[in-house]
Amino acid sequence: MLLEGVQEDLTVTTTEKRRLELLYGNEEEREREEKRGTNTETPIFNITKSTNTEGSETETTDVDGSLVLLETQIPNAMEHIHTSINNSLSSSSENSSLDVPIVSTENDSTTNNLQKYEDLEKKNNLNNKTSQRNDICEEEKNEIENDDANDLVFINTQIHGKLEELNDKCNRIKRFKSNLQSYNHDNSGNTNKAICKESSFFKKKDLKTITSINTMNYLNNKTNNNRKGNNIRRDSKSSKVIALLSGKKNKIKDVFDKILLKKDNTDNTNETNVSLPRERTTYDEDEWLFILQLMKENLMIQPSKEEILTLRKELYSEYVNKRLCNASNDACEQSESPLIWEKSQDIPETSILYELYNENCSISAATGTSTSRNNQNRNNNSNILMSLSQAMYDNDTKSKDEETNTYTNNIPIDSQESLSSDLSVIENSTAEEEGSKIFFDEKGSNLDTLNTMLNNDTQFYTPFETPFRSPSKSAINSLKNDDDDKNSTYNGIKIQVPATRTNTIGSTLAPCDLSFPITTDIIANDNRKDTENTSSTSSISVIPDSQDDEQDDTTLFIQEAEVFISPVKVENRNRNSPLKTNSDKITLFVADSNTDSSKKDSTPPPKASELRIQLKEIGLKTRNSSTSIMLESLELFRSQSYSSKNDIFDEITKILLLKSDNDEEDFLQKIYCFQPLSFNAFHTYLKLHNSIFQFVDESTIKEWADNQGICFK
Amino acid sequence: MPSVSKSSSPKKSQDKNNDNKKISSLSEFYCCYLLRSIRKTQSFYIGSTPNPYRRLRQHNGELTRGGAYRTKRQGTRPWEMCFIVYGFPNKNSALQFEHAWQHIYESRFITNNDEYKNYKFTKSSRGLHFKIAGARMLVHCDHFKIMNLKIRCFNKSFYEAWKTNKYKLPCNDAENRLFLDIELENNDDLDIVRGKCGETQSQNITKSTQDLNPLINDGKSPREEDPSSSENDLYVSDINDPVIKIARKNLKLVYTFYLNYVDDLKNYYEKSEKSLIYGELSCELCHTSFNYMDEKPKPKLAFCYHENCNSISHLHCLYKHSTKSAGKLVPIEAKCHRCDNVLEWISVVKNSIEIKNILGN
Repeated sequence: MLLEGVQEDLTVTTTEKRRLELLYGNEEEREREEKRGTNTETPIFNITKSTNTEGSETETTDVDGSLVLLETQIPNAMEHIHTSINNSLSSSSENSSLDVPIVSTENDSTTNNLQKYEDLEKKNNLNNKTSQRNDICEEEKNEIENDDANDLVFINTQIHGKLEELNDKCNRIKRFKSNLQSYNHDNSGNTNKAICKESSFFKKKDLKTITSINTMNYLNNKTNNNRKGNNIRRDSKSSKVIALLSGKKNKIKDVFDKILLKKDNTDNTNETNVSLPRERTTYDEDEWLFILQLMKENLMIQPSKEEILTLRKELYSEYVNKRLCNASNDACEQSESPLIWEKSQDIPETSILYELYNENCSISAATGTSTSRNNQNRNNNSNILMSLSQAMYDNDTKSKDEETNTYTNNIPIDSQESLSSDLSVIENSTAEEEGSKIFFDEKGSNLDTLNTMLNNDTQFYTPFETPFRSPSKSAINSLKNDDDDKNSTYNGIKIQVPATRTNTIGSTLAPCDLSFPITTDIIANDNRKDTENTSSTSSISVIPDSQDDEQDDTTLFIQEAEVFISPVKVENRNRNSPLKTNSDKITLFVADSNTDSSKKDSTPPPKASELRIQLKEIGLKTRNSSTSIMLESLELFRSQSYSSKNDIFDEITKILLLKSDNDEEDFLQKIYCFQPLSFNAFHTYLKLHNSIFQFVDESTIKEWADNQGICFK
Repeated sequence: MPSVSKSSSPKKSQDKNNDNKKISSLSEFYCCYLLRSIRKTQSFYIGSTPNPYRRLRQHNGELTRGGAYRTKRQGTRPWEMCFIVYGFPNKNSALQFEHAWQHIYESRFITNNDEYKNYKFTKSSRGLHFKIAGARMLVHCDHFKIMNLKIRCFNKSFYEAWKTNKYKLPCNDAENRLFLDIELENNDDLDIVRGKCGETQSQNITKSTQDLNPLINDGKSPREEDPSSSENDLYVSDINDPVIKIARKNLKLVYTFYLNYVDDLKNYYEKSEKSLIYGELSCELCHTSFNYMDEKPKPKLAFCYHENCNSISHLHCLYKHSTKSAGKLVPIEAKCHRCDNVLEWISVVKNSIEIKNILGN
């Protein structure tokens, strides 16, 4: 920085020098300290003195450019202080000392100080004669020294403080510089790394949703299971499936813990006295309300309270049936009593509600068959399949059931441990009107274990005996589990219903499609024509997620399981629905025997985003359209046997060619005359001739116009 | 389409009032053009106009009235018109083409076209070949293909560049319908337009121009159109400058083309008008008799523009008998049932509309 003719005439008195030495030490000491590299309070300034052509002293900045101070600046500044104290701010020496910037770290501020100094000089008329000014300065300084030495001390402390601050600044700048250099050296040639790192850093900090956590856990388990033996893997997978199916992991975990413990104990000490969990997390009122809300939102149905109660009743009654049937093959036949069944039909608040009891239970089915390994062992490969209603009221049909509903086990037994107990309650064809069919294949569960569980009077849930657990977050979250959001949704809608709570009795519930949040693709059968043949049923196909799953879990995902809660026939369902991509599926049929009109409502409303994509592809409106409107437009689109946007184009062309002659406004003539059309008028015209065009997006019509060389006004 | 004669002998208008009446609809002529700075050969400008001759003069500063902000930049003048795309049925189409050409990298006509999906142009794409590629793609796209657009080059180098097809764009059969021509004759005949070389008096120039392009200037001289243009007369300022020579030649070619095109349209119109005088006429296709002058509302008629053929039919009859491409509503060509010659649909339609506009009211 160049200082021109400011301090030339100023002389530094010996007292000032002494004072400065006191403050900063003399130059020799400073140099010594600099050599030592100590970071003392002494300012480390590279001060060089040079004389330019004009004879004025110049200051040169140090290499870092961080701080430069002219050697004479300090005495000048001191002088400046003195003059300012005496002349400008004589009333308050403290204020003056505080206000005047003595040392500046920046060149600009130094210049400003000098300028101020000049101004002050002008004010004091000291810029004409330097000798006079020096005299005055000396006099003033002497006066100051004599009058108030304390002020000087104070000023010195101020200077000292300022210098300390400057030191800190210098150090910070140096540190920053060194860091910058090292950083540049490390990252030379790839400046984007920092950005990448930063972005990855932020990515890492992204909040994980429960869905992602569940997915991660599942994948981790999957990989872990691959490393382990097949049995363990199967157990883990089945447990995963059940956990997800049930919608509540805690209770399943309890069950599995106990069963695994039991297994270990059996293997080691043949002990069977394992206490089963007494407490189960069940759906409390809030959770039921949440489920209701989900149903309302996703299924767009509003089940009445009675329906819900009926559902509850049927769901929980299933466990009674299951327990009894599972306890012994003859249990259903022998130990059933009307009282039990009546109780099972009670509402949950008054009846004994059972939670999921079968560990490693998987809904499985071979096309039209169900397996039962335990029953195979006990009953020579034959099962007694009966409906709940049969068990309750129709004992006479048991023999018929035994004859007609004999299913063979087609599923290979992989290991000794993975004995499965089969619980199948299948409606007899003779009792179609009131029966229901449930095919279950339980894999990896030991019937003895289950029997033990049941014989020990395990109460999975007793409303008045077992205290309610507070609604667990995990349970609710599992309801919202989006583990397989992509796979387990059809058109974006996914509903979780515990498999173990499926109806066992023919109901009058409004039909609803149920999908399980397992690692499978769930595809709803939209093929109404097929389902109409089997009464009013709606179905969901559950398709294994991957080939690996299919291979590994041949017994887990049995080809087709059908749960009929309606008088329907058990049959192989090989529907040629375009939505189906895999023959391996689990199909649940929830029937509505009362109303056909409600069948339409049973279509699972797809997710809006996916629906939008679908509609966009075929050129229908997506903006400002609710899901119901989009569904309506999609139905209308399909009803006219359209499949793509080109069909809409053809329809527009057809309308213009066939119906244009009868119209007042001949759009065709305008088109072949290359006259611009009014888009609104044209759109209205199209809507008049085909209602689909009220759902057709404007861009589709404009795209058609572009292809036809038509301009719109 | 009545072919634009290559000769550069514009006709003189006898009846200015009649001309003015007809000219009103001749403004339907719209073209898109590509300008290139003669001095800075990498500077281009894409525009559209119903009168390329007038517009070029505006760009070059000869006419100060009319926007030419982009081409006013220092050192870019004079501009030459590389080629024009013409044959648009209406102004909207021409403006659409212009906008698409200017923004070819994001034009829906290109991005929606499967043929050109592999060709990725960016905003920074520049150069003559890029401009040509843009025009080529647009001419071939579905929207503009129906209009049977034509391209007329005014410089051999541009013609060669078009033929080169640097971007290897697919050239389907529509390429054959493109009218590519160069008119490089009479290089030194600029005096036809602007007076003889060396005669820099503005009066002479004004007179000659006024005589030769009454249609273009609506019967008004360029001076009347733009009184301040005499001071900015680029073409007479420095005749010996080769750049100015090129500019003058280019202007002359543009002018000749435009004038001939307008003359051809006028001839076609006059021929059609004469055939309506005979009173009772019958449609060649539906054989329905009609008297055009008496009928209300007047039907749109299609006239054959080939020589020695006075075929008349209803436009919608001709439309019905014309063959259209699959899925298309508008034919590109029709066939005259009397002379079996091919009629360009857009020319027939434009003539029909012209007649109805003038005689129908």
